[in-house]
Amino acid sequence: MKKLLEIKDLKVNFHTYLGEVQAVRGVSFHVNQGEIVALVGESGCGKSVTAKSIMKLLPTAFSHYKSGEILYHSMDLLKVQEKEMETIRGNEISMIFQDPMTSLNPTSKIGEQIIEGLMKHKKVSKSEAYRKAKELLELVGIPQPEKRMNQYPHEFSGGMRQRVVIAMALVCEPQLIIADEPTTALDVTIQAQILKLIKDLQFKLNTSVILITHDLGVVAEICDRVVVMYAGEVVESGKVEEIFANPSHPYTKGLMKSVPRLDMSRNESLYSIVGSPPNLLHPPNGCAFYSRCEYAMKVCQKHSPNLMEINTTQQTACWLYHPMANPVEKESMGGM
Amino acid sequence: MLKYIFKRFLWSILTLWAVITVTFMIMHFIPGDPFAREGTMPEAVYKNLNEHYHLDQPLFIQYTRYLTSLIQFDFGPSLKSNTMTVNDFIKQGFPVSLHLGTQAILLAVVLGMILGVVAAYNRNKWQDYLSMILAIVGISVPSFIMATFLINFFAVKWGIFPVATWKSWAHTVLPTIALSMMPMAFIARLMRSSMLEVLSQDYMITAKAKGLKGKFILIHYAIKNAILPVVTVLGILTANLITGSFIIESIFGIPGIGELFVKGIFNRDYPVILGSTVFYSMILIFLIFIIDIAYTWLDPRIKVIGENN
Amino acid sequence: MESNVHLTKDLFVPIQDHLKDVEKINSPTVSFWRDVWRRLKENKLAMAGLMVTLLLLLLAAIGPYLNGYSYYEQDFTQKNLTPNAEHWFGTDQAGRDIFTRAWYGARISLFIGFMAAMIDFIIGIFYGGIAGLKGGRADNVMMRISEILYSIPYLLMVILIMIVLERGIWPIIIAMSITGWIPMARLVRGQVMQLKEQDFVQAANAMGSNTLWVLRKHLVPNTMGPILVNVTLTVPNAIFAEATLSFLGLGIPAPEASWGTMVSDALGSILIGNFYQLAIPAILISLTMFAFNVLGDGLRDALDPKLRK
Ligand SMILES: Nc1ncnc2c1ncn2[C@@H]1O[C@H](COP(=O)(O)OP(=O)(O)OP(=O)(O)O)[C@@H](O)[C@H]1O
Ligand SMILES: [Mg+2]
Repeated sequence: MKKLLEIKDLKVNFHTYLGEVQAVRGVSFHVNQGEIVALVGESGCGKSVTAKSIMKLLPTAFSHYKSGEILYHSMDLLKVQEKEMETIRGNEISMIFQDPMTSLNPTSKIGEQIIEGLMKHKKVSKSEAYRKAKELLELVGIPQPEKRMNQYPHEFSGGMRQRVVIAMALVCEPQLIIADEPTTALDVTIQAQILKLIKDLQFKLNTSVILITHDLGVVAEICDRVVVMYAGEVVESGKVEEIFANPSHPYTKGLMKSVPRLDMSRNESLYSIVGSPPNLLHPPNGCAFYSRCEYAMKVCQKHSPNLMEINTTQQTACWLYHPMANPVEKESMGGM
Repeated sequence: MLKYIFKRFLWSILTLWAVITVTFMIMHFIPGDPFAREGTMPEAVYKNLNEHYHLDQPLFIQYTRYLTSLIQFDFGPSLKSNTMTVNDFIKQGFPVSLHLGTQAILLAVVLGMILGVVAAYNRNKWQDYLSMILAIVGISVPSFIMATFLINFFAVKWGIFPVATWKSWAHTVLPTIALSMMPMAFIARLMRSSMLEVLSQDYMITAKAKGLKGKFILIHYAIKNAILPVVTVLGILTANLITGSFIIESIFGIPGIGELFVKGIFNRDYPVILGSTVFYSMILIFLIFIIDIAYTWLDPRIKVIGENN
Repeated sequence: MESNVHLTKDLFVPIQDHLKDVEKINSPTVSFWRDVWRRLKENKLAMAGLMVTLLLLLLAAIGPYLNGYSYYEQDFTQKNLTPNAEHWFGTDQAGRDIFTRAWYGARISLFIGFMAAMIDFIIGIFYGGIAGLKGGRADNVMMRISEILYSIPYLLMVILIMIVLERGIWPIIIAMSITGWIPMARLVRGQVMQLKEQDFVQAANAMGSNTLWVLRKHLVPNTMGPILVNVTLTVPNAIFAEATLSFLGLGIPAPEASWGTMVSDALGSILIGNFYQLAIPAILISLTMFAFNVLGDGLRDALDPKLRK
C-alpha cells in the first residue's frame, strides 16, 4: 500500500504569556492511500493541533513548528510556501471541523460557500460549479438542493449544516480528508448518519481519511488503523483489530476499559483513569503517563520511551516492552 | 419584511413625537415666560409670536397648535428677527450642514474602517499601534479643541487652508477633519475589535482550509461579518456628529443649522432652539430608521426575526 | 524522546506508591480580582492611564496652593504673560494665574465627572435592576421609556436642560444625569436578565431563596466588571460635556474656573498669538480623557473572561 501522508517527529509549540506550551512533542504516524485512520486520545492531547499542522492552519503569530516533517506525496508540507499551500488546501487535503454551527460563514449563502473553493481550484464556470454543488448536496443527503443553496447557514439544522460542511470538503475531490470530531456537536442519531456518510463517501471516492474522535465505538466500526495520542505524543498505533484485541500501552488499555460494553453487569461501574494529563508548559522528563500508570517502573520517571515495534503493524511507546523489562510485569498486565 | 419596516416606521414617528413633546415642555419650564417680551424685541415679532403660539392660551392649546404647525413643516417665527422665520433659517442652513455632515461621516466611516481593518490584520505590529494611537488621540481630543488647534496651525500659522467662511471646497477641509476625528476614532476601534472577534471565528479557519486567497477571505469573510456591529452604531455616531457640528460650525463661522442653534442659545431665541432641535431630531430619527432597515438587509439572520415578529 | 540513554536493569523495577499524589491540584487558584489586577498591570497603556489619573487627582488636590496665587485674583498689570518663573503657566487676559486656575479647574471638572458617573451609577442600578427583576410588561414599558429618552442625543439634551437651569456646578451635574443613567440602566438590566436565566439562580429560586437575596449575592460580583468599565468611561464623557457647555456659555460662571471655561475664555486669544492660554486647558482635557479612556479599555480587556487563559 502506498503512503499518502507521513508525519515524522512533529513538534509544535505555542507561545503564551506563561511560557512555551509544547502542544505536540514528536508525533509520527502515516496514512496510506484509501484508508481511514483514527486519531484518539483525551482532550488536550494535541489531536487538533496535529491536524491543523498538516494543513498549516495554526496561527503563525504565536505558534511554531519546532521540528519534524509532514510528507505528503513525499513533499514536505512544512517547507512549502504559503502560495503553494493554498493550492493544496481544500483541493488535495480538506478538513471538516467539529462545530457545524460556527464553521460556516453566517452572511453567505450555502451555495456560494460550496462553489467558491471549486471555482478557485478547478477554474470552472459558475454554472458548472453550481451544478456540481447541487450534485454534492444530493450526495450528502440534502433534499431540495436547488432551493437550499440559496439559503443561509442559520436556516439549517446542525446535522444539515455538517452535511453541507462535508459537501464543501468533498467538492474538489481531495485525496485526504481530515475530520476533526465531525459529530461531537450533533445528537446521537445524527452522529451515526454522518459517520456512515463519511464511510460511504470514502469507499466510493477512495479518499483517505484522518478521523479524530473520542468515540472508540466509532473507531471500531469504520476505521482501518488507530493512532493513540497522549500529552502531545503518540503512545500506540496499529490496526483496529490489534488495538482492540490486544492493547499494549497502559493508557490504551485504560481507554478500552473506560468504554461502556453491552456485556457489562449492571452494578459494574465504568472504569476511569485516575489523575489528569501533565501540564504541557512543563512536560515531565520521563514518560508522560508515569504519574497515572499502574505499572510504572523507575525508568519511566527518568526517561521517556520511544515507539517500539511489537509486530510489523503495531507499535507502542512503553518501557514494559523493552527487552530489559521483566516479562512477568507484561504478563500481569495482560491479565488485568 | 414590509411589516417590519412599517412597524419600525411607526416606532420612529412615536419617538419623534415624544422628542418634540419633551423639548417643548423643557422650553416651557424656563423660569418666567420664555417668549416674554424682552426690551429688545420688536413689536412686530411679539405680535407674530403671540399669533403663532397663542401665548395667552393654556399650555395644552399652545402645544397642540405647535404640533399642528409642525405637521405642516412650519417651525414658527424667530424671536430676534422680524424678517425671517425659523423655516427660512433652516432652509438656508440645512444645505451647508448637510454638505459638511456628509463629508465628515464619509471620511469617518471610510478612514475608520481602513484603520480598524489594518490594525486587526496586523495585530500587535506597528500598523496596529499606529492606528490605535490615532484612534486614542481622536477619542481623547474633543472636537472643539481639535478645531482650535487646526485653526491655529493650518490657518493662522501656516496659512494652508482658509477658514471663517464657507465659500470654496478648501474652506470645508479643516471643519470636516475636526468634525470627523471622534467618530473616525470610534469606528476604527470598533472595527478593530469586531475584526479581531471575526478573525477568531471558526469559519475563518474553514475559509483558509478551503484554500481561498487571503484577499478573498478578507473581503468575503472578515469584513463582510465585521462590518455589522459598525452599522449598528452609525445612528449614535450620526447623533454625535450632529451635536459636534454645533460647535464646529460656530468656531469655523459656517452658516449651518449648528451655528443657528448656538446663536439661538446665546440670544435666548427659544423658537429657534426649539425648531432646530426638532429638526435635528427628525433627521436623526429618519437616519436611524434607514440604518435599521439597512441592517436587516445586510445581516441575513435578522430577517427571520423581523418576519416572525 | 531520548535515544541513547544508559539503561540498567535496576531501573526496570515497578513502583507502587506514586499514584497517591495524582489528585492534588498543582496550580494555585488565583482569585478573580488578583487576576484582573495582574492583567491590568501588564497593559502598559492602561497603567499609563492610571498613573495620569492619580497624578491629576493629586495636582487637583494640592495644585491650587503651590505658587501662592488664587484662581480669581485679577491683576491687569500682569495680563497675557507667557509662562515664566512667577506664573508657571503664564496668565490669562484678566491677569489671573493659569497654573492655579488649571488645577482649580481640575477639581471642578473632575468633581463634575465623578459626580455625574456616581449619579448615573445609582439611578442606573435601580432602574435597570427593577426592570430586569420585574421583567414582562413593566420591563417592556420601562425600556421603551428609556429608549425614547435616549433617542435625543445626550449632549443636545444636556444643552437644552442647561438653557432652562441656572448656571452652576450642580445644575450641570443634574443636566448630565437626566439622560446619562440610561446606558448604565440597560447594562444592569441586561446582566440581571442574563443572571436570572442562569442555572444556579433558578436552582436557588427553586429551593426557596429570595430572588433579591440571590441577586445581591451573585449580581454584584458578576456585574461589577462591566459596570466599573462603564463608570470609568462616563467620567471623560462628563468632562467633555462640561467643556462643551462652557464653550457654549452655559457652563460654570466666572470667576470660577473649569477647563471648559478656560478654553472658551482663551478662544479669542489664539488670534492674537496667546496660544498657550488655550493649549494648557485643552491639553489637560485631552490628557484626562485619554487617561480614563485607556484605563477603561484596559479594565474591559482585563475583565473579559474570554481572554482569561
Ligand atoms: N492557540 C493556542 N494557544 C496556546 N495553547 C494552545 C493553543 N491551541 C492549542 N493549545 C494547547 O495545545 C494542546 C493540544 O490542544 P488540541 O486542541 O490539539 O487538543 P485536542 O487533542 O484536539 O483536544 P480536544 O479533544 O479537546 O479537541 C492543549 O494543551 C492546548 O492547551
Ligand atoms: Mg480538538
